[in-house]
Amino acid sequence: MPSRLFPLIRPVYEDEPELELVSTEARNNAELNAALERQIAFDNEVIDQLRSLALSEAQIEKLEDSLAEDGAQAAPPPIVPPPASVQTAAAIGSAAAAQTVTQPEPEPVASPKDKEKAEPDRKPEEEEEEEPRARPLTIFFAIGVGIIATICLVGYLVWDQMTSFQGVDRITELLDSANGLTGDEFEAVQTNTDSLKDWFLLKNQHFIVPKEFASTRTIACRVFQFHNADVGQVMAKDNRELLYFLFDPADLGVKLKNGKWEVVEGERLVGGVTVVEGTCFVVAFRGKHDDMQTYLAKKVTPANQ
Amino acid sequence: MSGPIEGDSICPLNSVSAYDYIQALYRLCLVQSGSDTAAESAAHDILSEAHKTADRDLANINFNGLFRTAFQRRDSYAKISENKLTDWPRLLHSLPEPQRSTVTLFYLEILPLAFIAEIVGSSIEQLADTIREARSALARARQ
Repeated sequence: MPSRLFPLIRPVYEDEPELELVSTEARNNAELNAALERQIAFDNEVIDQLRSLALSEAQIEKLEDSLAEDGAQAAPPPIVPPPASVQTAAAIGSAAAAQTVTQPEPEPVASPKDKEKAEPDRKPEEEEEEEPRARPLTIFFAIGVGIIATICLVGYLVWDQMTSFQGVDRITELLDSANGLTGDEFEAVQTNTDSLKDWFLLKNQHFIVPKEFASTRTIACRVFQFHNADVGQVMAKDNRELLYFLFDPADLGVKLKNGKWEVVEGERLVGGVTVVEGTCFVVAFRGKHDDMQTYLAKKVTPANQ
Repeated sequence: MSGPIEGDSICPLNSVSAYDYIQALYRLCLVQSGSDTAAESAAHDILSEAHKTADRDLANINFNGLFRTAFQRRDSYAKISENKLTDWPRLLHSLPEPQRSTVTLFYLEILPLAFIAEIVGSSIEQLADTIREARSALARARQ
């Protein structure tokens, strides 16, 4: 006995969810299949004649004009027939005007294979599933941007770490603090840098000067307070006027690998900074970053870097 | 317009052009009224109203909704003593409403069955009964 839904079976409706099962059962039963074919043949006759009823070209044009009059400011796009429509005679407008949502009109009797091709356009569930298609793209885009931003941030941090060191701001301040010196603040100490150890001992300080600067002739020295830290300051001269700063790196929060030189640029002075045996040593003069790099390259042997 | 037109959150049976929808609407109105001028006028009115509702943008028209409106107005046509329809369309017109509009919607093959059932206010099983009865009536009238 055929299902109650049997009368609804048409090739074009067979893939609808309500009919899938009924249609399959009917197709697999010889008697039902024969009845179905008769039903389809009957319907085809009706449908063929129904399809022959169509608005003429002039009628469609009239309809278009009417809609255009209704919306004078926003004329509707021309209503053109589908390219493969059987009602080509009733077509209007330019065939080139692609203002339709066209796909060829469905054949009255479509084979199951044909219907499978059209299936993605037919099932409401699948149409609904198409909506989120943009979401994965958006998600991938967002993830991509996030990854790129993270890489850039990590790269910047690594670069910053490689080109800088902890306490560089304090060194810059220290260099800038020398801008207002008049010379009266210093005590004349004319010796060489190596001999300054004794002078510093008298001041209860234990600063060490790198051996590369041991023979430099000194002019004047002082010990002053800078951010509650004792800082030894030396005016010296070799082939240019130099200013040395010596202090305990822990007092000013400077962390630098022992023996490694870094260049810090202040407002007027540029300084070469290193740490030697627990003393942070800064050699400074008026100039730029490149000048100091050139100076250190000549003064400091590669083994000491 | 760039893709299949959807309406009432139900997709059309196939991807159908605006042209197809308008011709199908005209066919429904023609079977309902039995008059080509009445059908043309009715199709125009329904489309024009939908066009206004869609901010005069053809792409925004709820094309499925056109058939709901046409179904609701199935009894609004003036009775005519003779119609110009012949053969099967004439026999379709001879069916009583709402059977006439229901089976025509079915034969237009442009809307999903679930949506046709919703338009005519019945279940899918009741729709199948209506189609079976209409088909039998057509066959009897043909003999």
